[in-house]
Amino acid sequence: MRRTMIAVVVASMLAGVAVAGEADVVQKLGKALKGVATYEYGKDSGALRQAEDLVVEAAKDPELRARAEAQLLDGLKAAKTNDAKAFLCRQLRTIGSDRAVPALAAMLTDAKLSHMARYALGRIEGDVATKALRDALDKTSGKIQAGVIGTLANRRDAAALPVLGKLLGSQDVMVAGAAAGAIGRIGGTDAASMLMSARSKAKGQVLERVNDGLLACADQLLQDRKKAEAGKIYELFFAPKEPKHLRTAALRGLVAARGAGAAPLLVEAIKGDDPQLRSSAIGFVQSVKGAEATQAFAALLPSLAPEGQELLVRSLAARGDVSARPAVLAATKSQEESVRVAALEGLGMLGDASCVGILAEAASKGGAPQGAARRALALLRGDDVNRAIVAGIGKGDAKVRVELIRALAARRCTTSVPQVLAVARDDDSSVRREAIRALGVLAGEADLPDLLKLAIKPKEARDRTSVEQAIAGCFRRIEDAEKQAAPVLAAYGPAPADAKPTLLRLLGRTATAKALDAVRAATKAADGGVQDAAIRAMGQWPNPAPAEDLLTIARTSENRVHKVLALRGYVRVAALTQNATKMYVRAMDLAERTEDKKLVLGGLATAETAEALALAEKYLADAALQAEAGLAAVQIAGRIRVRDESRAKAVLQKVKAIVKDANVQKQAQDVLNEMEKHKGYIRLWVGAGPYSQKGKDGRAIFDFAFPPEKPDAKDVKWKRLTSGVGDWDINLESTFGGHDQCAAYVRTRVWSAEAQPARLEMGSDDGVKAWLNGKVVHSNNVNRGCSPAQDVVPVKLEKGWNDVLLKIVDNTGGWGFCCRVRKPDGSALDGLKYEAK
Amino acid sequence: MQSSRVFARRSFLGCLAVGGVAPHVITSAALGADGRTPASERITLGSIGLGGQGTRDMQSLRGHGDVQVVALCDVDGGSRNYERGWYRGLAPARESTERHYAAQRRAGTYKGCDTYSDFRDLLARDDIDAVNVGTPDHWHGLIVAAAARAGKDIYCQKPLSLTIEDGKAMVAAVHRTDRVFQCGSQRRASSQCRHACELVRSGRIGKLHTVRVGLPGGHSNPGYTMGEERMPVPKGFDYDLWLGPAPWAPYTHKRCHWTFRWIRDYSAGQLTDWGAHFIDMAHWGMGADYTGPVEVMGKGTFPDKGALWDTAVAFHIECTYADGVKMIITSGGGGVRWEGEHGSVDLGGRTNPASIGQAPIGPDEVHLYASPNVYTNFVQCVKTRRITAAPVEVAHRSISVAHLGHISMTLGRKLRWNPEKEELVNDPAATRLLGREKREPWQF
Repeated sequence: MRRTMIAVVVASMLAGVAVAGEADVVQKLGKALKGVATYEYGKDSGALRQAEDLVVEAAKDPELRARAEAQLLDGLKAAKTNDAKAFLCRQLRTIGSDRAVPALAAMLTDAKLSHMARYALGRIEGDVATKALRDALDKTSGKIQAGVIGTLANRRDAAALPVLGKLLGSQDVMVAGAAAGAIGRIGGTDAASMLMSARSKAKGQVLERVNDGLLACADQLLQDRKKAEAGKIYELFFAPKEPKHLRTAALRGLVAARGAGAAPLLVEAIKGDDPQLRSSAIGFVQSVKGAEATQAFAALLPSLAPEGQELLVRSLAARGDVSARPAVLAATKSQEESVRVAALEGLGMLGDASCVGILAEAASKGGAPQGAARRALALLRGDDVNRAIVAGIGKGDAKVRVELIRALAARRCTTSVPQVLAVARDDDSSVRREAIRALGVLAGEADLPDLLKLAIKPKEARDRTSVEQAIAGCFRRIEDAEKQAAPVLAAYGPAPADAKPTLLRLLGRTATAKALDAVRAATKAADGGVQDAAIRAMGQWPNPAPAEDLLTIARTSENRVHKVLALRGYVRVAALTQNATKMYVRAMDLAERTEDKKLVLGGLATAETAEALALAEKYLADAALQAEAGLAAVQIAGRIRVRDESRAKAVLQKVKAIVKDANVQKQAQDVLNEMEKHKGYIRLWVGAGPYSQKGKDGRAIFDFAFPPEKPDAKDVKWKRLTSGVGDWDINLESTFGGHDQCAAYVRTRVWSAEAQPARLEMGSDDGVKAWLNGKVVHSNNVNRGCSPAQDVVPVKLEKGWNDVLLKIVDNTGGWGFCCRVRKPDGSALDGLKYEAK
Repeated sequence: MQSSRVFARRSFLGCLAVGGVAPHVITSAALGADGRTPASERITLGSIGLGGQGTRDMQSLRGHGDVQVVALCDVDGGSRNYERGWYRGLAPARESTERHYAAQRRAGTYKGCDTYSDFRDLLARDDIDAVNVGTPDHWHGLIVAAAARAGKDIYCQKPLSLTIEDGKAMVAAVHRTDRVFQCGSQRRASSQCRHACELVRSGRIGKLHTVRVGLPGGHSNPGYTMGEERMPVPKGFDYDLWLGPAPWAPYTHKRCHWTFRWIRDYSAGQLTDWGAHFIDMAHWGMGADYTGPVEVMGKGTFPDKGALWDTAVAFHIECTYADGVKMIITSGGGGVRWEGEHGSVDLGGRTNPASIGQAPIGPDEVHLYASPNVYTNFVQCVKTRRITAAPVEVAHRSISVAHLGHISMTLGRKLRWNPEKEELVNDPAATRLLGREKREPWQF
């Protein structure tokens, strides 16, 4: 099974699997059907599944299909049980024809089998089957009759309408209701008038069915463009005396039937006192077009309660007719916040450049309307909208200007960068802050020099941090790092000392070789602040390129601060390298202060080498460092335990014994527990594979014997499984590749001091078959992901060496297994030895 | 664009244009945003089907200040026959509901939640506004249609339907009665999923060409240990009503409750169980909410001969849409990836290259229906009569893809589909499998 989404075409699945050659499909079906005659649920249904596959196969060819159908009909005669007959009905659903109708029709009156007869009959095309069903109406009653009515409805049998019309008056509520539902589903003018006349007499469940049937007829008439006829039915249900839900349904229909002509109805409903109908009507406002209608709806706004106003404003906005704008603008002044919010948002759909001021003003006031106004500002359409926004950012109330600048960023109006740059030096700090933030979103490669000028000479020095962030944002839109770095390098030389740290950090973000050269040179600058910034920039470098520079500074600098900065930077970039251990060893030699040593140990914890573990272990004795050293040792041991279990265990126990910190002790114990949990899983295997068979999937090859399971097989190339070996599981894809629908064999030997009972605990992805000393002890053709002990099998170990052979089948996706030998009660079986040759 | 509720099917009448966008989250005070709507003004809810998911949905809806659960219905009076031996069904749902409301009252007690084993009795009550349907799939169609007929708004668990014909009938029933309907496909309310779909719909990956949908494979079996032999029907379990419209079969534990989904009479396995989530998301990103594929080719691996659980354990389905986009649905996995000429977007938010997802969705880009979560969205829409984030036709269209894939797998051949008419093209043999006759007396 796949653990992640991999989209590989499963070629063998697409190639198709022929069930049988054409010639013998029918023959095989006949044979399979012999096993069906006495079938009962719960008994072996293998013959049924086989027959089902053959029926599908036969369906592909008209002649085969006819012969298969004949077999099924013979089978129906021979069937001894209802379960067998039901099964045969299912097959006739697939391939039955007029020839099957008599036999199926005969079953329609059988209380136990009628539904299965319909299961087939209902799906056989043509009048013969329909007539048989219609005829059965006379021979059935109660729920059996109701079932037949349902199938006639599914077939939209208009010829059944007269008899269904009679059944509509049945005393049996179930039958009358079924007839009403069927008439509605069959539909048409006749059906509608039948239901219409039944409506006065019907009640309860039958009336509900009649009403629903009428609405169905009306919908059908509407679809057939018979709007006037449909409209009459909807009008009937729109009468004030009708239940509310029917009135709502009717209103929907009337809107559909009358189009713009329905506007007065909606106005009436919106003015009315049924809240559900009102809300529905307000929703329908969206669907009725026309400027006149817009005016009629908009005029309702003042008369509505706030919740109605809110909904209507939203509907008006959704209609998109800008002639509603004045009404929506008026609603932005409502006392009710919810209405204001809807109106402001609505302006996003209906507004134009003239609304910019109102929206910015509203956005500047905060609260719930702020979000709505901001969304609207972002959504406003029209060429002149951006111009109107830009025109406002230079002067006026600072809070409004902030919102306008924000809107430019939200609209990603990149043409406004020059104007935004200008206000990035505004006197007002909030305007500046917003402008700089917007530049981070808007500025592109061409704007970089201007942004750098801003960084070098901002309005106030404290703006530099946000300008730096904006430039970082700009970098994200420039894919080529050289193009990020070049303007910075050009700006760096002439820049004043106080701007240089910012530029050095930016160079660090670009991480190009030229940038590193410049930063390296800056570490020797005369200005102390520049030196500091250069060393810090190296320490934050995105890759380990400045490692040696940092080491040199840490070793040779006479400035204590620089030494510490460089050492920390060195430890940080060490973590970015493949084998950091050597770097940590060097850093430890250089570290003088306890806190620096702790820092190195923190980095060391991410390593996974024996040397790293030895280094951490060394500092366990140092009281000041033992907690950090212990933590590093635990984490490293957790990683190397796969390769060197005993070493990992020894160190973990040492940590537990020496380190006083309770948290570290617990973590050490957790790793020990984890090791115990997976103890004994065999990781020493040889394997052979992958084996597959053209056109067969994993499930099909599960029982196919490939050479490794044949005792006399020669030339099987066994190889040691070295990659993909986890704590407890073996990933076979690492050795045999990511194939699907294939199998591999794995083998190991287990030495037992004496003959004894034991159990094999296995997990597999997907199917697994197991042999112990040449005998099959387990077989499970499944589709699953692998986890420990999915299958547990009792076995007998012989004295001395025992051969274990597993066949692991992959259907699709992941492929792996796990296996261990335990005592029969599941506890550890000590003293076993393993070898894989 | 969302379609308006009146003409949710853009093809409904062919004579009216699709309506405008659906509203953002409604914030009106009328919605009881503080959760303290007076009991008399709350939406009265009946909950039908109270197994694991049905109970969870009922509790989530019940947690809303705007909702009062007044009636519960299940064919299991209460038992531990559910997944993992959980105690579910009617009695525990009633107990938990009474505890819930008792805690809100000064008296510390509460009685007022009626129980039913037959959903028809619950639907006959005219004081119930809305229902939550959490039954097995084979019951969804009939109960949803009956609820719509009775004028109830409907929250229904995914997968929407058992067959395409059931789905079509559900869409028609909900539309003609103008009911508010929400399908429990919760990713429609996830901001992360919405963002991924907006990236695709806004053209950030250029022209879309392939959508890869990964679904789990196999059958999972949370705590079902017994065999498949005939067993006596447990006391307090109305098995005949549980079977309902499905072909008759004798009771066995593994047939009912949670694992019904591995049996083709009641569901279509992982393909529909998870397809309802991820195919639905694929459609959202494709802008295919109201359409479907034109070609479907599926290959499946079905269980060993004779298995009770007979839904496919592995599958590979390729669907082609009219615009040439391919959707590839495979078992083994979990997620959606849209691939276009300039890169790809994963449902989880990962994009390749990363820059595709960095800028926020701009004003001229596609903004999809935003909602806080499926339950709140449902409650708000019941109050405002607006279209929900997961309306019936959208859910029907996405699960139809799974149903078509299932039919193609069953027949072992390619299907051609007309998404406008929702019909197979010149294929009477496969058309037979679009629906199933129902056991009496059940019918739409």
